[in-house]
Amino acid sequence: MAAGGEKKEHLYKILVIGELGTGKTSIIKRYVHQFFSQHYRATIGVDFALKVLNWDADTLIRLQLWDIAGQERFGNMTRVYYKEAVGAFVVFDVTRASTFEAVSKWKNDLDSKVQLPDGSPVPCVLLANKCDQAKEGLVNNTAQMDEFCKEKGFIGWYETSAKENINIDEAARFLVTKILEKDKAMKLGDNDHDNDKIVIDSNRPTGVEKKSTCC
Amino acid sequence: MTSDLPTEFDFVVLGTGLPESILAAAVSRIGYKVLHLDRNDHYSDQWASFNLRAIERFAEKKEGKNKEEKDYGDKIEESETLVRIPTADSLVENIRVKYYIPEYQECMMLVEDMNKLLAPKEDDKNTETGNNDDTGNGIAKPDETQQTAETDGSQVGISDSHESTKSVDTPIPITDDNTRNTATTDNATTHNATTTNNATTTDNVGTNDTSETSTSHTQNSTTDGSATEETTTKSDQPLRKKKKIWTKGELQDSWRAFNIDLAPKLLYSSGKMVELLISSDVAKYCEFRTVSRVLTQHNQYIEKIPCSRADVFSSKDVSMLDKRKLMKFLEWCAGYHKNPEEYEEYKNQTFLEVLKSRKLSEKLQNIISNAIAMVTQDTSTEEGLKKTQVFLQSVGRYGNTPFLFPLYGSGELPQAFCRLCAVFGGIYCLQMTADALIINKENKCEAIITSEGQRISCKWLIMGSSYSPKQYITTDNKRQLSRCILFTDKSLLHSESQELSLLWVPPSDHNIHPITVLELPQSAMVCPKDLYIVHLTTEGSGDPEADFSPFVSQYLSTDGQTQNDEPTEKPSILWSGYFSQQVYRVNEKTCDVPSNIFILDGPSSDIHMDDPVLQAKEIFKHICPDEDFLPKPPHPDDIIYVDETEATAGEGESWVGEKEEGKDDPKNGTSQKAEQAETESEEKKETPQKTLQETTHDSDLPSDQNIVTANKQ
Repeated sequence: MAAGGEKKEHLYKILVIGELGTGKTSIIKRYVHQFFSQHYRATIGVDFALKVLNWDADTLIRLQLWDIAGQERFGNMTRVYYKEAVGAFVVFDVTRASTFEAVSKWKNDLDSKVQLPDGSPVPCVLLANKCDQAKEGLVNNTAQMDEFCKEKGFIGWYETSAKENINIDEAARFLVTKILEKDKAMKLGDNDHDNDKIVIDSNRPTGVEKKSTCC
Repeated sequence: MTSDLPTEFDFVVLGTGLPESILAAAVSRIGYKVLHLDRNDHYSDQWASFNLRAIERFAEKKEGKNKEEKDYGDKIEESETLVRIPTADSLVENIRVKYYIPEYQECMMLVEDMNKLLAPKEDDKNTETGNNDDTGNGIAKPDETQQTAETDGSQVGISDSHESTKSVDTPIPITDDNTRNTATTDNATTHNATTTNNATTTDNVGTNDTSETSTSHTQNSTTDGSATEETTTKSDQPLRKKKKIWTKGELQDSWRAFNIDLAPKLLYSSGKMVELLISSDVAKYCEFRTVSRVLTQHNQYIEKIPCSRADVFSSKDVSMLDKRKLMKFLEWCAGYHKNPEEYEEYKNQTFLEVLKSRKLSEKLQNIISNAIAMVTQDTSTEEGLKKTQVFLQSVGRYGNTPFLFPLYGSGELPQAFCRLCAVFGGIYCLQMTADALIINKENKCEAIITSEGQRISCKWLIMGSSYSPKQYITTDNKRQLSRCILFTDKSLLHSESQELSLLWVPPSDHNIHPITVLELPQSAMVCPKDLYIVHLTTEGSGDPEADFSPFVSQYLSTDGQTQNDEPTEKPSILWSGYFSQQVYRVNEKTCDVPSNIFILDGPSSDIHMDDPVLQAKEIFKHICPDEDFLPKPPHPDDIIYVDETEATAGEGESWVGEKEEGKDDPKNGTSQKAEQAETESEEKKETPQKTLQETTHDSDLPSDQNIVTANKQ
């Protein structure tokens, strides 16, 4: 699929989940659009934000960051949302302990809905967001947080602030590194070259001519 | 958790079935506030696709429970009346799930060893070479051992055997009379008979018969001990190709790999659903596979029919003369829409009468009536022509047959529309429903009371028929579907590759109504490897097992798996699920349904999904006559983010601010930029051409392409 032959391209779908008001959209905006605002015009009609990374000289990575839409409030996401994701961020708000308590619920939900092709859980990073503000609860204890992540199956955690742009790029880089490792092991980004799979594609008129009547 | 639900919506939608979800997406798309509820813990309601665990849980849950009615006197005003919503979905009934294979491999070993002891001579004939790392695959049986056992419902049988070449031309399940064994299991333990590497028999272990078996087990373990496996694996005669032999435990371990449709559906490649998926861009959420074969029944055999021009001309079964006649007839059918007046003279005839008058061979008539048009004796010429036409128009668009199947099951499609609705601000709550509707004195629905007791007002109420209060449904229109889901170990019609097959069985002495058969392989992402899911659907009597039993006994074996892999051998059923589904059609003219309530149909016996699209569109046009029905959304990259203080605090998650702005003219719901994008893509789609999606994309294409790629991972 590489355009010039040499450069490798990957496309990864990453989910951003967590309780209402933890800053998921802010994190995505900061990461993708280098932009922060206390108030956003609602992101109506957007499935995901796209971030293109020139990872190294040989690798181009397109990240699709899937925010949860209106259904998120109650944690009822469609399969369409989870389908074929290869990584995830679970976000909580350090100023509200209740959002941390919900972290396990989100992680369990994630693991039950999606796995990598080999059946292993998708790599997932925990983000302790709004770390520029006063922290509440477990997040103050690094050792305990490490323990928590290990126990719950997070590959790591970061204190982040979308507002101050703290650690967001780092967290993403960490997650992408893990995804790349997984990818190497099991060829994630590789299409299975299954030409029989059909995607109904509206945008591109193609050379394939439709035969109106068959027999 | 849901106490923070807003108290006012434009639309409340009950049920996440297909037409409800399409309609919810359509109104959300143009800016209306939508609350979409479903009483189940899964999406897609009666259109859902379940994994194995979920469908078994679903079957258990259906054992009915009715909640008591709460008093909502304090929630309504004097002029209003309360109309109760049925608390439980009563439309799916009589679910029965059954396994036809043994529970564990271990037990099979024991049994095998035992059998070997009992009938060592027979081994020679029937063993298989090689070591088997999987579930074992030989089955052979001592001729003399014949045992039958009946027990408590869950039957596990194995029929078998070395001499199974007969079969097939007889409509009787394949078994060697003298070797036939049926064993039964009571989900318990070890003694469930059967298959394995080599010699096998079944022993029956009923509750009533324990002594014999237990002694055999003892013998067995004392003599052979652990060495048995090795000794038995060497064999004398290399048997047929290795075939996967399943156990119940293995099926259950692969529970995730299943996507079992309650309402299996296909899409005509040129049908309404495909057009909608393209025009709404919901297509980006789904992938499809073409149905690779259309089958027909001919003289009790199942045969593949030629669908495309090329197929017809290369077919050896059809004579030159017949080919010409067939082409001529099909061209005549295809011309129907251009010159309808030419067809006037056939108006009072049925399609089959017209077909007969064309002097086509009996075989061709069968192909046209049963595989292409799928018509019965009563089908009018007009309807038959239309059905033939959509078939012809759809062939060749994506593949050699006219049909597409959604990967991961038909239950994906409602979810795709729900996702679109959510992306445009629709709020979703599963496991929540309306307990009651509040009707005002003008006979309009004013509000609902949720199952959590909250009053939420709405301008329109949309609901699936399973949510409808009984007084809104005319029972005259009540019909019933019989459904059967089978896991089988091979295809109904042998093929070297994994085939996705459609078979339509016309009404006959055995079945009053036609039966639609959809056979799905692993490549449809609905089941594990080495397995097929067969869906049978018919308009039924309320006793699905009886409705399908002629078909099942003719083409399938219910005696458990055999090792035999002859193409002539019938597929063995490993698991079955039977249920009935009530179908209501609402006749609004005869009922006193409030004018702002719309009740949508559940799945019908149709194999395609065009009717739900038409129904949703019709209601949409009724409610908003001047709006576009699901126009293409803007590309993610074309959305601009504006820092606006009037938007509600926090994240972009709150859609409320946005929506208020668009209240008067819902179209303002999207930013201007987005609208431009719409116009652009509108132009682009002028000729909505589709194609087999290739793996390469131009990198400068809009990110839509990436969705496509992402979905392919």
